[in-house]
Amino acid sequence: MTANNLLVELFVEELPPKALRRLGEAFSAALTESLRAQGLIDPAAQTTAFASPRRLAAHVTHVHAKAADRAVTQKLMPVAVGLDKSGAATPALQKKLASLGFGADAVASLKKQMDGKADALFLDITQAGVSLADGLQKAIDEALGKLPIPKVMGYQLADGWQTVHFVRPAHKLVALHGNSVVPVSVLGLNAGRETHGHRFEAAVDPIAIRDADSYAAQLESEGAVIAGFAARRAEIERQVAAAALKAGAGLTPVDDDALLDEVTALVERPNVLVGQFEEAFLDVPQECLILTMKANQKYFPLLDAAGKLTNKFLIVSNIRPADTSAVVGGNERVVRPRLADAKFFFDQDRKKTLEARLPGLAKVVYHNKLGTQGERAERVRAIGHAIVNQMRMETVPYTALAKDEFDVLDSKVQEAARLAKADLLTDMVGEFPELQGIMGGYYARHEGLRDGVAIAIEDHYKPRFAGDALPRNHTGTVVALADKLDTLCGLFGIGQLPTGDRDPFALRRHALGVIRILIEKNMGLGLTQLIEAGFAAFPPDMLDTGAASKLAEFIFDRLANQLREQGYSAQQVDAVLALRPERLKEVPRLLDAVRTFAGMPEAVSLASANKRVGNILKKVEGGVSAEVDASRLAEPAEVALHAALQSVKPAADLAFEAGDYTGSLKALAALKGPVDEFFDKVMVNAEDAQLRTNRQGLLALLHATMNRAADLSRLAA
Amino acid sequence: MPMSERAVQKLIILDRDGVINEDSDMYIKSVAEWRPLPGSAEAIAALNHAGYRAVVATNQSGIGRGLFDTATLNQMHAKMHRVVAQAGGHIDAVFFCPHKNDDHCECRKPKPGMFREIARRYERDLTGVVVVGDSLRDLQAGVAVGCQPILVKTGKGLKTLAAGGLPAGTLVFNDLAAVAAHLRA
Repeated sequence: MTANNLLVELFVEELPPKALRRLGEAFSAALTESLRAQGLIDPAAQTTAFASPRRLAAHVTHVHAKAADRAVTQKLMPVAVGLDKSGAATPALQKKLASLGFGADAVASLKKQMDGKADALFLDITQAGVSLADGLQKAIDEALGKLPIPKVMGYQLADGWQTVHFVRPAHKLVALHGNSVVPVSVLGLNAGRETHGHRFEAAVDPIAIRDADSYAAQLESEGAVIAGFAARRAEIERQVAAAALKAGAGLTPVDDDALLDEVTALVERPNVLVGQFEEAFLDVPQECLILTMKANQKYFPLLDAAGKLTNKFLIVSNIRPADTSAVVGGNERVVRPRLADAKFFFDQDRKKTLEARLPGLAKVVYHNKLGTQGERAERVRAIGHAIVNQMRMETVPYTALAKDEFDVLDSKVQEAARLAKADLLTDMVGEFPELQGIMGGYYARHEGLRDGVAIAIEDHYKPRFAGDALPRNHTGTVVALADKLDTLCGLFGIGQLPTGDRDPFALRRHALGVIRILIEKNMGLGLTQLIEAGFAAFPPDMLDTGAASKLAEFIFDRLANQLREQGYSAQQVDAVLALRPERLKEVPRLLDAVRTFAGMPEAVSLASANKRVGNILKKVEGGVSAEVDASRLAEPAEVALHAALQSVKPAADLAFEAGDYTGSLKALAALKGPVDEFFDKVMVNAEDAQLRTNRQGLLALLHATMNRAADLSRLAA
Repeated sequence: MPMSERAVQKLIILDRDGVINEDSDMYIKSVAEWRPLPGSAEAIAALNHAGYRAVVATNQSGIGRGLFDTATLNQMHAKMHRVVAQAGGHIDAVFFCPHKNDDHCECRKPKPGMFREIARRYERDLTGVVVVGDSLRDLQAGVAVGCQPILVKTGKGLKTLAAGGLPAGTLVFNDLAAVAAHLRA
């Protein structure tokens, strides 16, 4: 059986750029899978995918002209229906055999087998392997059917009458096995070996592909097309880097993978050129210029060695004319209005102060159950003020100097909170919503507001994504915290909880922001108090205050997730978070303490003893108080345990209060012996009620002593 | 010895009547008749403390004979779970065979059907896992899948010991508490 390489290409009109990569991969993967399922390719086969704006192609090695024949056992019918009493074939069986192409002589070779409940007749058939033409036809139909296309278009074939549906009109089909054409057809096209190269610059047109293996080379040499997506992307990257070097010393192109993918999907023959705009535009904030050049024009702006935008940019063109001045000139002419728009917005916006825009915020609805943006800004201000007060309470000693600093912080926080959303009403943010906060910072600086306030306005959205930086200054940190708390408390309070697959308000991101700020900025604020401050900022009947506990649960859930991702073991994370520590900033140190403890030889025994103690205490009706009447201790083992507790508890508690969590857990090691001895020798549930209650009290005291830093029972197997 | 995060779970398989609770030739047919043997609940707690998960495997042909129904069995087991919990312990699972002798099922001890089911549910081999019983058939069923047999002298234990023919390597202890003490050592 001749195994040869196969090439299939569908030549179409320009495909949607953002989807091109996905379509290319899906097409070749589905095609290969179908051929494999039909037995037409070897296990060693390799597939190469090609995708360019005008073509989807796949090259598959080790493809057979015909699949191997397969032995198949086919169930015919139950014995009772197929054979009469003498064992001869019934008319029904004869008819069935005839339909499969067998005569009466096949009856003798039929097998009887139990199939579920009754005996049935089985026939061994050799199924002929499918031919490549038939198999490939099926494969192409399947591959096209499975392409991830959200919306297809209907268009007419060359006869002007028949309508077919595909993402874009298809004009040619190539299907080569080795050097022969495979007779398949799709979308009204019959397979051949002809295709077209570059729309304008092909050396040869049409191109007759010699065989499956010469496809890529012919397209490049005769068609001036780099057919492979990865190869074209690499070529663009190379040209972009080279052009940046040539454009000036130390110039680097903006780094954007998504943009690179997009331009790769827009050109067949990349040619990177350098353009420039009037330097006067550099007065406009560079974020605006970069955004419009990338998003609207698909350029790569060039930055200088310090990361500042220059007036030069890179154009990825699809043509390679001898004289590029028309291309460059055209692009320069076209980018000017874009930049002029940005400049216009910037100039217009600055004619009004942020303060002057505040009444406008009262007219923008934030959420129909949570009021306007104006009301929201006011709440964030109130929460920010409450946070600063909580920070005051945490500061020991609270000197006069500290008070003054907090007063300044308070005033900056309130100002920033009030003005932080004003930039949402500017033209620039209206045009480029991604610039919210950034523009607020620029306009605040322009107005001459205090530096700390401008930075806070810019930073209060951070962290905007996983791995983003946190706000840079105290004011920004407090406003960011307040803003996230308003969002979380508000949406939880009206029942808009995130579910497993839906989180339209990005509450997970907000919760993680709160966690990261408290821990990484080392803020010793209590979570319950913060959530209370959040809920308190809302009008009395707006929220379901019962949701406060759900919010706390949610935040601890996110924290547990994040800690596990950071590599802490699930058991150790559970042990620490089970106690719901108030100050999240303590969690890393608590975890380190638990980790150290878990490495100690006494840990196994103490952890499972803790579990046993917890189980016993859980079952006592009416709860147990951690009180022991020393005079009622009878057995030596319980006296010894009590004595051990008396000596260990003060040391452990002292260490815990000083924040030495590792030390407080280490101190518990001394309890191992007495605890084991106690369980070996003493029956807790004694007959005598007083003995029993006393022993339960002793266990409660032990439990409280052991579980200050973490719930040690979670460490047990 | 420091703790490992994912050690293979230690199991111990216990017969019920005569090991955990008092047995009767007329079957244990009601909650009132189900009375724990002294120290057995604490023994299970001690086994948990030593890292063992306790699983019960018990013949309950009384159901097949119509002497009581599954609902009553569940009530008896609820009592058992409660008593064990009060001592700080936990029984992970209860496997029971409701069939009479002439039902020729796969699960009635000494047939190893229940043990195979335990192996399947816990996704592990039972080689070396301790099985505790007071009758020969408890031990035979376990030995068939590679368990380590332990006979206790409570319930029918003394009679079983006297009759002889115990599987090779059977250890003998006074009661479940003694077994726990031995395994904790």
